[in-house]
Amino acid sequence: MSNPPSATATQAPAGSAGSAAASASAASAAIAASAVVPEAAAPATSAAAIICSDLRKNYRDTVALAGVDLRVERGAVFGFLGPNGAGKSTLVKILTGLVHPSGGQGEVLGGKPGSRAVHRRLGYLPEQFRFPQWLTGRELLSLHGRLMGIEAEAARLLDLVGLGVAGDRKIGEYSKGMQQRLGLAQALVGDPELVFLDEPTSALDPIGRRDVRDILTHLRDRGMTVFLNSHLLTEVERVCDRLAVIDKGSVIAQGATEDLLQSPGLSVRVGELPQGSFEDFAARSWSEVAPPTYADGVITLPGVAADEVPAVVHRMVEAGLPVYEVTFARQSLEEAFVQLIREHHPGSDGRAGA
Amino acid sequence: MNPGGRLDDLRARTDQMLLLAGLTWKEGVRRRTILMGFLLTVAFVALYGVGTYYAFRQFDAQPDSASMGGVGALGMTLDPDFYRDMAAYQMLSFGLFVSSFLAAMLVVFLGAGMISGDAENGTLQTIVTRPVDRVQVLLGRFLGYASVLVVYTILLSGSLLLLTRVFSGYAPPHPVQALLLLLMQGLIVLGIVALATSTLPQIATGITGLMLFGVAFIGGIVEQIGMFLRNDTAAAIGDAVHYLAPTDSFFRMALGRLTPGSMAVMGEFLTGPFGAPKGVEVGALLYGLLYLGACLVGAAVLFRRRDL
Repeated sequence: MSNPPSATATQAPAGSAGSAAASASAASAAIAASAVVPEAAAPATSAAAIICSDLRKNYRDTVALAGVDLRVERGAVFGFLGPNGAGKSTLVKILTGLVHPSGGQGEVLGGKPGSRAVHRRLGYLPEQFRFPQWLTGRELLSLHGRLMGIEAEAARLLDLVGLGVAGDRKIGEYSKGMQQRLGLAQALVGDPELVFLDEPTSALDPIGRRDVRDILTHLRDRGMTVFLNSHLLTEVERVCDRLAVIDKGSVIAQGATEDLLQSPGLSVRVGELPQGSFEDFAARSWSEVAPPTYADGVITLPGVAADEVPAVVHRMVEAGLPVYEVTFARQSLEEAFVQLIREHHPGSDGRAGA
Repeated sequence: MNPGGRLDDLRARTDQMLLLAGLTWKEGVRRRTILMGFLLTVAFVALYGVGTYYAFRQFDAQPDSASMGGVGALGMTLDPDFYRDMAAYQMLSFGLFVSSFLAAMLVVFLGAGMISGDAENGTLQTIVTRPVDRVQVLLGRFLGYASVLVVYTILLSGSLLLLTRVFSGYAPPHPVQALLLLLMQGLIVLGIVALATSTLPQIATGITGLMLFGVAFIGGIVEQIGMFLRNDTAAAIGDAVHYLAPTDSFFRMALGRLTPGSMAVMGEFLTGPFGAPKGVEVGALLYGLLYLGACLVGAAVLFRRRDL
């Protein structure tokens, strides 16, 4: 029961060969302690929703995954980005047990990918999927509920994805967008702890995309972990707390979304500079950020936050700089992404992961 | 853990398999394949019935050598009852050959997509990521198609047996055993298809199923010719083909269960384009069961290994 006595008791046989009763209780305490350890250890290893270490996959002579290390915490909306063919779907398929890895280890919700125990707590929307066209949307959800051993809340899920009125129509009559909405509802059957969504908005129009974004936010608020594969960067930028970028089978960046989005700061177009005015301006207190630079009529100020812009402009004017145009540019995920992929390509052999 | 838990688990797994098996029927009803299959089967049975009816009405009208066509013209004298039974048996063996061929085609066409087709189009991926084993998915789907085969065989081959009985009066000695053997033939085709579909693409699976069925049939004919001409090599080739695919062997054992006792004297000379009847051999029965079992085990192993 209580830990301190068992800890001292286990040392007892080594220290003193005292009473038989004492060593007997020590033995039973040790057994009790060892019986408790695996259960106590389990939550510790499953604190993260997903852990990949050196996960590899080869198809004949092509490398799909070249040693991926990844950690996704519970309750996060995790974005997984990469160009086509980078290995996004392969990773998700390994983590859902569809594809067998060539090497390395994956852990999902503290268990082995593909095991029944894990699948009971999982939802998955594949990139390429097709539901039986002769079932209705409601029947499909109830089928998946029965496979989970539960009664699917078909009505709630259909409403959630905006298919409330179409639930009793055959899937064959659904548009592509409707099928994708149904696919999302299917992934949410049984209120899973973790959902894998592989390009969930590829067939959706802008309204559909916004709906999905709202649903993802809603899921996160309910504590669900979402693993989102996407190449739609603005989407990932808006909903994901953390993200990883994969290219040629290797993760080339991962971290909090805002950390991966570096702000290039302010760029200011100026007229002809009065003698000494730029030096004067540059000399004023830029201790915490990189100093401003001037080139071709544009002054660049890296690392300026949005709320600092008016003060910076005020100081420029004070220094006598003729300001014509001020552009505050937060680097978009797209720029960050393109930059990352470009940086990764030269000299890369696609095996940089492990 | 505890026996009750294990029993509950087994029940849950069985429920999942039956759920998947039931989908086969639901699909058949919704896509009207069952309706079309049923209507065309009725047409086939009706044609067979009409043919049998007229053939034996003619026979009843003139039960003499004139109605015996070629046999009568040769001046042979035959016992009319014997001749009648032989004619009925020939009709039946022809009808059953067609029906068993149709059953095999049905099984090949339905079953070819069992794993590979559904894996290719993305139907399977959302199923196997549910808390089910791939073996359950395989067996569930196999059971679904097997149940279609059972119903189809009983309706079609059973109707042929019944119509022959009604119009010719001929009562084959072991009709139920014959039906069971025909069923086994279809199940072996389904087993081959299950094995192929768990690793080959859908089209390759269909071709494999049909080709093996055809090869077994030709093998049976080679074996017959070998026996007829007392050519041991041909007989051995035919025999070897039965090991490759024992479908023809089961068909011929089924015919053997329907042969009139009076025809036994004709022995191996009773060859025909649709296979000569043969007696039930325990070895052949066991081999067929083992073959089917091996197909399913192989299918399970391959399906488990397959990347989807």
